[in-house]
Amino acid sequence: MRQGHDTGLTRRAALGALGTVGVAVSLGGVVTLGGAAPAAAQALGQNEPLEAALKRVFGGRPMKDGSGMIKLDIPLIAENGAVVPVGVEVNAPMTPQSYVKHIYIVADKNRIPIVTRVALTPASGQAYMGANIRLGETTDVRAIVEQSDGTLLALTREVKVTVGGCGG
Amino acid sequence: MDVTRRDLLKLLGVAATAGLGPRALAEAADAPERLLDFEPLGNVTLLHLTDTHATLRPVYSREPDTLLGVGAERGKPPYLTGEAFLAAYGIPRGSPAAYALTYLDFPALAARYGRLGGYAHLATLVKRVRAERPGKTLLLDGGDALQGSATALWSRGEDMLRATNELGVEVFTAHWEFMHGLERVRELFGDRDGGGRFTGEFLAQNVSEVGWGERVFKAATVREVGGVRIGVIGQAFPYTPVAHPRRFVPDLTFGIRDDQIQALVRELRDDKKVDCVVLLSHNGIAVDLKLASRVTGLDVILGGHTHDGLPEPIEVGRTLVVSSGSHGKFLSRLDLEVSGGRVVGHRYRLLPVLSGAIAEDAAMAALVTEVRAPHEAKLGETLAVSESLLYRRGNFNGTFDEVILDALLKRADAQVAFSPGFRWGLTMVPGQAITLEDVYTHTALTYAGTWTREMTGREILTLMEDVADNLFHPDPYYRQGGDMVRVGGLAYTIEPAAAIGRRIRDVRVGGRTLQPARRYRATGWASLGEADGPPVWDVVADHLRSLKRVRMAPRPRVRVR
Repeated sequence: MRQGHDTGLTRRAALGALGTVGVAVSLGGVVTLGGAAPAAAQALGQNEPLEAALKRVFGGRPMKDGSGMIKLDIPLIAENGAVVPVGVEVNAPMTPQSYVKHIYIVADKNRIPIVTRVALTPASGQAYMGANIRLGETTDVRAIVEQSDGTLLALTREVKVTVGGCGG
Repeated sequence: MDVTRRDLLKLLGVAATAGLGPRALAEAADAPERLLDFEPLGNVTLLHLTDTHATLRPVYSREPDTLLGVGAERGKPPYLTGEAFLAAYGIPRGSPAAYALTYLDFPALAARYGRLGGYAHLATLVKRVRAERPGKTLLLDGGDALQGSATALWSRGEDMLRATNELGVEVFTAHWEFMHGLERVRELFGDRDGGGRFTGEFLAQNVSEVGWGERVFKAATVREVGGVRIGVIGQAFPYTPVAHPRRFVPDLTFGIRDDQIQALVRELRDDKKVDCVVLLSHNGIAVDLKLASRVTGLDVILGGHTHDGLPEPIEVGRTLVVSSGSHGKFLSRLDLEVSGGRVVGHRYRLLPVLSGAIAEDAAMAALVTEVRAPHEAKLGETLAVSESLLYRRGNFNGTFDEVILDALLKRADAQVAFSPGFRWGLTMVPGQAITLEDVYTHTALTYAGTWTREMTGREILTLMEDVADNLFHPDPYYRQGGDMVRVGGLAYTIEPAAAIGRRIRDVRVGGRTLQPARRYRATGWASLGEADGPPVWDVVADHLRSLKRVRMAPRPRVRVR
C-alpha cells in the first residue's frame, strides 16, 4: 500500500482508512491493485461501489460458477479482520494453449472491493495464489478467475468479521 | 435417592431399546444402580465425557426450555426441549431420564433424584466398565474440563488436570483450557514434541502457528483396543481465537479445517491401517453433523461444546454422531463391533451419573477433598437464599443471568447490561443457599472484569445482531456455539430464521424504543478487550449479600417470531 505514503499518512492510518489491502505472497504471480485503485486510494474515504468496480474490470462479461474448479481457502470467521489469509487454487491446465491468466480477490464491502489481482503465465506451472487481505466487516469474498480464452469463473464465500466473545 | 419402582420400570422401558432384556428390566427395578446396566457388544467400548466444566462434585443442572433450530433443523434433535424431547425418545415424564435430559418438573425431580455427576461417581462408573470390558475400553474427554469452578480458576487448571489423570482419561482435546493461556496448556498437556503432565494424549488437528502453519499439537493417534486398531483425531474448538481474548492464543490459528480431517482419515486408513476412525470433537453438534456429511470414512464423532445430551447417536451416512451432554451428568458408552476394517454393529447409552445411585470412588473422593480443602470456608459463604429456580441455560436470559444483570446495572447505574450467553453455569433449586461457589460456577473466567461505557443505539443493535448470527446462522460452520447474549434493561423481538441485520427488532430500553443515534450508559463483563471494573464475581456477590433472599421469575424480555 505505497500509496498511503504518498498522502503523507502513516501506513496504519492509510490501511485503516482504506479498509483494504492486498499483500502478496504468491507463486509466479504479480500482485497489483485493480486498475484505477491507486487514484481511488489517494482520495481517501472514497468508495468504489462493488457494481462499478466489477463493471470497470470485467465489463459486463458473464461469469460462470467456479465451484467445480476453484478452491477458495479463507476462514469462515476471520480470526483477525486486519489480516485474513486467503488462498486460491484453480484446477485447470497451465499450458500455452490454455491457462489461468488472472486471479482476482474481491471483497464486496471493502471501500475498494477489488483487493488484488495476480497475473499468471503457463510458466507459473500451477494456478495458485495466496495473500493476506483486510476486511473491516462481514462480507462476501469472491475469487474470480480469468482464463486465457477470456472465460471468467467466480466463487463466493461469506467471511464473518465478528464482535465475538460468546462461545459456550 | 428416592426412585420408585414405577419410575424405574418406565425408564427401563426406554432402556430396553438400548439392549436390556425383560429379565434385566425386572431385576433392575429392584436395584437402582442397575439403571446403568448395558448388555456388552463387540470388541470395543468407547467411553466419552465432555464439557464437565470443572464440576468435581455432583450438581443440579437443568437443561434448556428454549433451544431453537433454523431451517431444516427446526423441530428435530438436537433442537428439541421438554415434552417434544421426551416424545421423540419415548422417555416418560418424571423419570430419571426426563430429569437428566429436560427442564420439566425440575425442582420436584431434583428433590426426588438428587444431584448428578461428580468426578468420584464418574470414576466408579468408569472403573466398573473397565472391569467388565478389560482391554476393550478407551476413555476420551472432549474438553472444557479445566474451567467452570473457582478452584479450577485459582489453580489454573491444576485441580482438574489431576482429576482428569485420576479418572484415567486417555485422549483429550480442548476449548476453555486455552483461557489459561497457551503456555499453561503446554505445561499441563504438552505439545507435538511431548511433555506435559497429562497422562493421556492431547490431540488437536486444527491448531497451528500463524505463518508457517505448523501444528502445535499432535493431530491424531492410533490405539490398540480390543484387538483392533482405532484411529482418533482431535478437534479443538474451532473459534477459540474469536470467542475469547486473542492474547490467550496470540500466534495461533484454529478453524474447522475439514479438508485436513479428510486427509488424516485417509492417512489413518491407508498408511496406519486402522480398523475404525473416531473424531474427538469440540465443534458443537450442528458443526459435527455438517462435517459428518462432508468427510468420508469417519465411523464415530464424539461431540461436545453445545452441551446437548442425546439419548441416541444421530446417524449421518455411515457416521455415528454422539453428543454427551455437560457438567459430568453423563458418561457416554458406545460399544462397537469392529471387524474387517469397519464397524459392523453398535450399541449406545448415555449413562446418567445419578450420584445417589453410584458410590464414590475412594481415591477420587480423596483427591476432590484435598484440592477443595484450602478453599472450603471461602467457597461455602452463604450470600443469599434462593426462593426461585435459578439457572442460565437456554437460548435467552435465564433467571441467574437476570441476577447477574441486575447486579451489573445497579453497580454501574447503567441503562443497559450485557452478559455472555455461556452454556455452562449450574442450577439452584428453591430453598437452596446461594454460596460464593455458586457465583463462581457462573463466572469463573480469566477475563471476568466488568466494564462501563457509553454505547449508541446502533452499536447495541449491531452487537445483538452479531451474537444472534453466531447462534442462528443457517450454515452451522459459521456458528460459534453459546447462546444469545443476555441483556438487562432492554427487551426485544427476535426472528432467528431471518438474515443478519434483520433478526432483532422492537428493541426497547426502559420501555422506550431504542434510538440508533442516542447514547446509552452500558455495562457488562467478559470483554475481549480492556475492562477496568471489578471482577464480576465481586459485583454479583455484593448484590446477593444485599438481597439476602432471591425471588426471580423468568422476565418476559424476548419475543420469538
